Amino acid sequence: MHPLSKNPFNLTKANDYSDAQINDYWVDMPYGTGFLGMLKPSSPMPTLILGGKGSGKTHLMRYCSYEIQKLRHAGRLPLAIKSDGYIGIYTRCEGLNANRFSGKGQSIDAWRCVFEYYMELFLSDLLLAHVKDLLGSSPEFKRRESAFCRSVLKLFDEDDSEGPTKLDSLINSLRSLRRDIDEKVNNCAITRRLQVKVRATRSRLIFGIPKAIQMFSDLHGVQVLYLIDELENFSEDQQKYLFTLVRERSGPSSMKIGARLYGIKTYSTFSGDEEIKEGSEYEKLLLDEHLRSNPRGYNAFARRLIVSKLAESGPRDDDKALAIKADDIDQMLEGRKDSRFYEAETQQFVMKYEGREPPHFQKLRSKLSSAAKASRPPGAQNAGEISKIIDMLRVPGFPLLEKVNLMLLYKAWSEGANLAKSAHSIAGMCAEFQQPRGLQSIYGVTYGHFAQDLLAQLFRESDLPQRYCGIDSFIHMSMGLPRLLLIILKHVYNWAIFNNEQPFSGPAISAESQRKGVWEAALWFFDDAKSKGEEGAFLQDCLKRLAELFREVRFADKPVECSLCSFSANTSKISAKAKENVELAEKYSLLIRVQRGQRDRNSMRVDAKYQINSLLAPLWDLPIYRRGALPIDTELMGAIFDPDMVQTFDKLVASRIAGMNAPFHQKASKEKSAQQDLFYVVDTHD
Amino acid sequence: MIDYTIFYKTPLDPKSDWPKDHEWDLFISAFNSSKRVHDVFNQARSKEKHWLIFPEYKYKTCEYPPQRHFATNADSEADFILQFLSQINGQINNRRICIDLTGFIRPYQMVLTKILAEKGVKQFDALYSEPTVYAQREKTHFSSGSKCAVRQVAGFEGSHSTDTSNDLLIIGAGYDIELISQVAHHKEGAKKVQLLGLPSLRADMYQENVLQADGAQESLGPANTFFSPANDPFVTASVLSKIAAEYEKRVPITNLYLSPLASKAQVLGFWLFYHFEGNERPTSILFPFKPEYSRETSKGIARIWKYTIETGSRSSNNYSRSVPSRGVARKP
Amino acid sequence: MKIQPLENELYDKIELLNRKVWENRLGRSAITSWLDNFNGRCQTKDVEKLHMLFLLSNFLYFGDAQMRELLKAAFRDLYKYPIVERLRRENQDTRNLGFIQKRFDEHLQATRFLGIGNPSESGCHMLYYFRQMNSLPKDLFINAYQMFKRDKRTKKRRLAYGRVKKFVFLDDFCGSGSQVIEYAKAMVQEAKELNPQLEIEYHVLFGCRKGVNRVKFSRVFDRVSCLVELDETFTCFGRSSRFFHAAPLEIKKQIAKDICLEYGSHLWPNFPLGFGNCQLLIGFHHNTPDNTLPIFWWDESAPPWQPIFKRYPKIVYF
Repeated sequence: MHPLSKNPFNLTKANDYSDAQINDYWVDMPYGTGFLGMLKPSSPMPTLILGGKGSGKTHLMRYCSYEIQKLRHAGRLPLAIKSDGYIGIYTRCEGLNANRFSGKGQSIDAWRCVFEYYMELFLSDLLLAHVKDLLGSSPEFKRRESAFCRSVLKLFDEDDSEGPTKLDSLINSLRSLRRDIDEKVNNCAITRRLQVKVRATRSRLIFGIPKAIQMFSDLHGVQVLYLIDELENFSEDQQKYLFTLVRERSGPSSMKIGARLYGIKTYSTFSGDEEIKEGSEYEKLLLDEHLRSNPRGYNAFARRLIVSKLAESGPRDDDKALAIKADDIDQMLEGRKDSRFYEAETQQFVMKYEGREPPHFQKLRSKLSSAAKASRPPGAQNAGEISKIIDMLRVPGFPLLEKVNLMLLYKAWSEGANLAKSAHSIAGMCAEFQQPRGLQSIYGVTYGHFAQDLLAQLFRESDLPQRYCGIDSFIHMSMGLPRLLLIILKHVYNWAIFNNEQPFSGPAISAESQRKGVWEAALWFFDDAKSKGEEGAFLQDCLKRLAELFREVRFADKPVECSLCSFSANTSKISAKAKENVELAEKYSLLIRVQRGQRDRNSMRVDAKYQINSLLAPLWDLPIYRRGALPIDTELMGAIFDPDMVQTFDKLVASRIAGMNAPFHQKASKEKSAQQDLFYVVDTHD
Repeated sequence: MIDYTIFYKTPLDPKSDWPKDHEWDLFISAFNSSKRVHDVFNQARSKEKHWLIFPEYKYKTCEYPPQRHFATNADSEADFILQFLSQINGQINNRRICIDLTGFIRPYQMVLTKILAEKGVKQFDALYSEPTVYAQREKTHFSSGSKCAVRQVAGFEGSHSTDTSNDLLIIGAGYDIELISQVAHHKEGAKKVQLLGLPSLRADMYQENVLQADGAQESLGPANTFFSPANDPFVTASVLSKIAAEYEKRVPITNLYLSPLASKAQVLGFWLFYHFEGNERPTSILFPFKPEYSRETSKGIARIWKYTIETGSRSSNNYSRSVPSRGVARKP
Repeated sequence: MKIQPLENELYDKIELLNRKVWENRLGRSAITSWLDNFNGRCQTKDVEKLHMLFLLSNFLYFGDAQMRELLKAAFRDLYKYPIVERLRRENQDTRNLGFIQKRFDEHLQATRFLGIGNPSESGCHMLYYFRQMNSLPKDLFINAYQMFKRDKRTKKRRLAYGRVKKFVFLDDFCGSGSQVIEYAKAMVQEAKELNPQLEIEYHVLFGCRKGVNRVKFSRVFDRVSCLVELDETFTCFGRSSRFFHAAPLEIKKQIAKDICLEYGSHLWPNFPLGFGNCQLLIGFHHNTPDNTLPIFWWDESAPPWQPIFKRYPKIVYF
């Protein structure tokens, strides 16, 4: 079998797995109460589980389903269900094909009635089938079966004393009623008639049957947990119905509803259009946000997940084995080479420009030479002076230090200082910095903040690829969405095979294979936004503009923020359209909201803060770790996110960036304050 | 058991006159800007010819053709077709009908063939013109515009089981990865099968199809691949039947979803399978509806196919066991 | 978004093709070795390699699964369907499956399938899979020499199978058509002389339109059918080449042609762009036809060359 067909990361979605696989390869959070502790399946409080694509909602919900409870507790089922405290009735909204309950010349009210009734039958069918499976062979069940059927029949609007006395027959009756509705709904498109007799009031069966099953001792005290997944497949009216059920919830039942972040169309109910109340009527679990807020836990979980995937064809590892192997993963991927001042990382650059002037000095020389005589900075009036300056800034074998030198020189240039004197001073600081116990001067602070950015600049200037590699990077780039991590690794694996490597079984996977894999994963993630239609295509454009702004800053002569992949803005001031698009980008996980926000330097107001999803970083050579955040004013926010203002984007960016690039003609007041705070650490990587 | 491959299919030369008996009472075509659609419309001999102008092509009234045409703002594909057929004079079930599928938007095509069969049309011809090449090869865009709404095609909704543990989605994978992704994503819980066109319309189109379909790989997941000719509805129906039977043998299919997103000839095949075997299990046809479609995506006509669709009754008595008496052979 | 260099884009496409279509035949090292053949004789090395990478990214390959599917299609569409159609039309369009199957089986029993060329060649190699994929009995397959036998009494050659009404020659690829005609003409003529009622057909999986037409017009066979036709747009450097009509700006057809001519003329001076000047970019699981550009498949000891889609067997020298 070709290694590619054995790519252990081929299956990335919960739906690719059978119930047995989900059970067998379940990986829990190693710290705290684990995933079940987050979900609380035996709690009566309904939960709305929201998350981006790939956050693990379906995995978690299926893990709580009866089908997997059955596997997990094989051989001791009824007792174990009682011990769990719940029986999970899992269903996906897409299984209802809910779109068909609309249009076809019928009124909204008519469809609402039919849909509600259909849901009663649908969920009851599922619940009763599970009850039959669980209890069907027990003597108690056989004794009480007809009484149970009678109590269910009583829940219908019309009392049917002649109805089925066996549960199988009752289930078949419900199915027959549902098939009748299916046929009528189907033919309605052609016949334009919809005549369905509604036999049960909303919520009577859904909450009544859980009460009825309490008569069985094996289910006494057990909560019926309706796990309703993929709510985004319901229309607004249908979601309203479901939230009405949440409000009307009674008896020993609860609901866990899963949906994509962008999938909720309304929180209102049929009780006078009131919205359900978070905290009192339901809890919200923002799954990927929860995982992001615990980076240590998420990292440990992700490593175990990877190990589990690698071992899927072999015997199941226990927790201890998983933990041990999780630490070995780093060796399987080529990572950054630790060396003084990134000497090893920049070796390729040094070799490329051996005997030639490297691009950063070429650029400086060109900029100084082409500056008009009148505006040439002091100390750099002619070619000779320029060459002297450059010579002072050279640090053979350490191009990164040269870049730091240049950054400080550009700063001096922007302040109108004498460049020859500045270069001399910088050279001194550089030499001091290279000493084993060099003082922590402004040089050290600059290096500490901007080394990664300057390294990126070096690679870009010399057409060398940026490096996105190492397992910690991949885990971070997945942003709390485990599926993204698997997708990255899937592509990395494919490229490693193509590059004739032996991923995860031979020498470490090369940086090149990792780079290609990450690029493909990033491209997929970005392209996936298009599937949201026109709004998705516009969001892509917004992200492009934002990312290009960040890239301009990152690769400027004098970047004002380090490790820039986030921004802050006073969203109360931006246009409604811009705000809507920012929120939409967040819902599609293209932007990640930073919970603590950003305190504005001047007013001390706390602005909203967002980061570009790290997985997108490679598409624009951006950093994946967040440090500095770029404050963006209302006008520029509009130019990025408001379709009516995008035409001003280029001009506004040019104006914003001008102050960061030699010859520093413009000094926007905003950038002046940013320059003064050049070394103000806005936010550390957390 | 149904053997779809016995149904008649005839290649026609776009550059020559068609045989004399290729004449109809009612000819229906979908108006778009492809040369192959117009050439066939002009070449076909029929007492009545109708253009259908679908709103998704966004034609303005000044762009409408001079010949008889039908356009309306309907609330669904079924409504559009019903309105169109209601304004045809006289009975249709005793007329010689021909539909040029080439320019059709797929749901309309399926609804039209369904309603014709329900109105008692026992036999009709369907034409399909193969392009020489798609405009941008594997980068060709067919649909555009706003959000996709995946739903069942009107009249093809079926009656589904609450048990979704072994749902199967068969996608006729064309070039439009967005459509494939949307449908696959919509039925995330289902096992997926992708049906690729092989033999393809042109030798390189199979490879282009594979390249394109890879763009939907994340949505599709580990989908098995089957093949059916891009230009043969009968083999397509036959392959669908085999796929269903094969999966059924392993574990009974709980719900079967079909989504024909490839050539119109394959769409016809999906319809045939649904028509004859849709009742055997919970089955429906899904489609990712978009508000707009490209008016022209191909260049040239390579070949034209004529398929003779014999709807008959859906019972097995359709295939009589008696040997027919030897009569005069009908000319093909 | 940063724009990838064309080379990266091409490698991305090739990696995908390799994984999804080319049965993982290639890896980076195989591609690098092949590209190293191009050492700047015609253009700069970089230009040569980029153009050849572009051609590689357009290479059409049909793997094992695809070839088997096509063999099924050949039987179903080229052989079976015309018989079934005729049967139906001659019997009032009957849909009686039992009747149709019975009559078809009679036709099948009266048919023999043969390959083109000697048993070691790819056309014959394919017969085994054709039989397997269509669940056909072994005795329907014969070698060409088995068509005839010598009458013991008269010592004259006669047809070996008196009851056979149809011979079907199967082939995987028809380029110029000359080899098919050369191979089959005498044999078919003799068979027809012995029994003018015989139907002798030629069915080919892939065929260049010109070559297939040539075979048709030669009138050697009663019927010539091709499953996948390659028209003039598949001629790599032809006027209406489909490979260049949406090519990136850096790629020029004339430059690519010059490179292929330059290196091809060292490899196979008579046919630097493939046998019959077909200029194809096509290969199969079991073989690469010599009508494909030799730069892809040349694997002789002299001149030395690193192929990327090797050809089996060796070429016939003309």
